[in-house]
Amino acid sequence: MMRVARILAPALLTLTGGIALADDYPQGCVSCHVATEQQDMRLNVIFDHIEHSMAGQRTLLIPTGCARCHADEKGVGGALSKLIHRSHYTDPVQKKFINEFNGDCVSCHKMDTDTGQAEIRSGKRNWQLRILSAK
Amino acid sequence: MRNGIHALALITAAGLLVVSAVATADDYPQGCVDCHRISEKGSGLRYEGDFRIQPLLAQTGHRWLKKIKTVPNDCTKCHSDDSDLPLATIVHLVHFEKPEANVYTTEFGGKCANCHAMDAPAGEALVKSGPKNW
Repeated sequence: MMRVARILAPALLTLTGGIALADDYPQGCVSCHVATEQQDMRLNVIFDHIEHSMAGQRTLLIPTGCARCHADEKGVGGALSKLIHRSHYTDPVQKKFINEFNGDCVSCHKMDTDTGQAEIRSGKRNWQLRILSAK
Repeated sequence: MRNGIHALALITAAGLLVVSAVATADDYPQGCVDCHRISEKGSGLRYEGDFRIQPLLAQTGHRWLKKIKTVPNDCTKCHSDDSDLPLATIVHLVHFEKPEANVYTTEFGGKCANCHAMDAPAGEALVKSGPKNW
């Protein structure tokens, strides 16, 4: 799992140009992990590289749906929060996420100012299910 | 609950007034008590006054913080996550409610890292803590 997270984080950072602001990534993961002319850094592509199970491809809401396997405490794949935090805040990724892209908590989280609850940004997957793709 | 939160909002704003610039993580390694302190005349800080938590809370009618030694860890004795007034909810609200008018966000950047630290190897966000300063 650590391998997964370590690959995802730099991929995200490579893709994003300039300073990351909260408003730039309203849907969190999928707002950053996108395909460009230079690179396809969508999560489904990265899943393939790291030999993640097909469950990742089938996940509709990212990262909300990841909790099927990566729930805190009881997730069979390990807690997603720990995986993502590690991958974004440990070296050598740390230098890019923080220093180069000014990434911080609000890149992935947002504050509900009415309830005082810190939430996780989420969005619909930005890839097509492989089984539905034209061969 | 709202009245209490509004009272704490005043405290938060007061605490923020003592800091001199946009806060960074390294400026507040102990969280609350690094921001809520006495700012004396000539200190170079932007605002002057006693912004420590104990005197500020006293003004709101909060009970005396007799048993508090470490802030905010010991606050959770009453304000646990399972309580009616979880500390996380209170503190988040007073710092982020009405962000367009909240001093914490308008003047001091509203950074999570002022109060939180990341334990990178463990992948866990922590709450900064320090000994009481009153």
